[in-house]
Amino acid sequence: MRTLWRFLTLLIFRLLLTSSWSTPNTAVSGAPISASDYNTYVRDDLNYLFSQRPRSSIFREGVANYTTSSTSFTAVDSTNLRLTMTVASGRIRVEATFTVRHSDTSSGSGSDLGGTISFDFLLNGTTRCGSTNGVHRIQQGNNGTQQRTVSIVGEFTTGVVNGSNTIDLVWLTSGATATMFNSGYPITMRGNEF
Amino acid sequence: MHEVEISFEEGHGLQDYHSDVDAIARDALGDDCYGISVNPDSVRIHLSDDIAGDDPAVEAAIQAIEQFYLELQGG
Repeated sequence: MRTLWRFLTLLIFRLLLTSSWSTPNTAVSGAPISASDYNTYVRDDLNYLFSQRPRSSIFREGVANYTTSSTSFTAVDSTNLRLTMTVASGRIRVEATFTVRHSDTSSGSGSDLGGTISFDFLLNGTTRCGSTNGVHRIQQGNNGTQQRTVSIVGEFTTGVVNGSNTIDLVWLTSGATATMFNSGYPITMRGNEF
Repeated sequence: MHEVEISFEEGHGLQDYHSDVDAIARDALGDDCYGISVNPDSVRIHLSDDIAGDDPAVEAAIQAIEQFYLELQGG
């Protein structure tokens, strides 16, 4: 009995704290707006818009770095660097910040020296946010071992499921070795419905 | 592109030997290898769609990388 009471208390508390979006009904002339409709379409939806829209974040500082020589976009870490978000609007904005370096500091010509790294976000394992070179691309340049801190932002307005979605941080390199630092360097990802 | 993953214990240290592991994979797979990724607990080989994940060449690449790791441990 005590366990049941605790369960019901937790359930009620959770229902009070969270609600989902309800597509507003259309008012009809002369028809009263019921308390139930008001609570569902005005109170609960306003609460949802003010403080309950889905958001998700990852702050990962691991024990080792990530490296890749992949020339096609690949997830950095589909276990630890994957956002999972259940949304109602069909739109997700996502951000990531990290520190990288490319091993190639000499290829190319003129002032365009060194290897490049491209970054993007991958929605549900199929849809990338950016173009051929992702949402952002850097070139190492002939600056030796200098690291670069990168912040990227992407928005998905198509392909988002009105349910659970996954977003991976993905990257590719022009060749040689790209390193994303994580031993002593946090990698952050944040996503929110908009 | 698809990939096969080789699991290692966290702290394997193969990030420091990325170019060596990459060369081992490319020796075994040729142009069907699009590169590798080294994560804290795994190595992933990125493959072209022209080769299956269970192709003998892929198995050879996996074994060669595992052998390289064992030699590092022993060395």
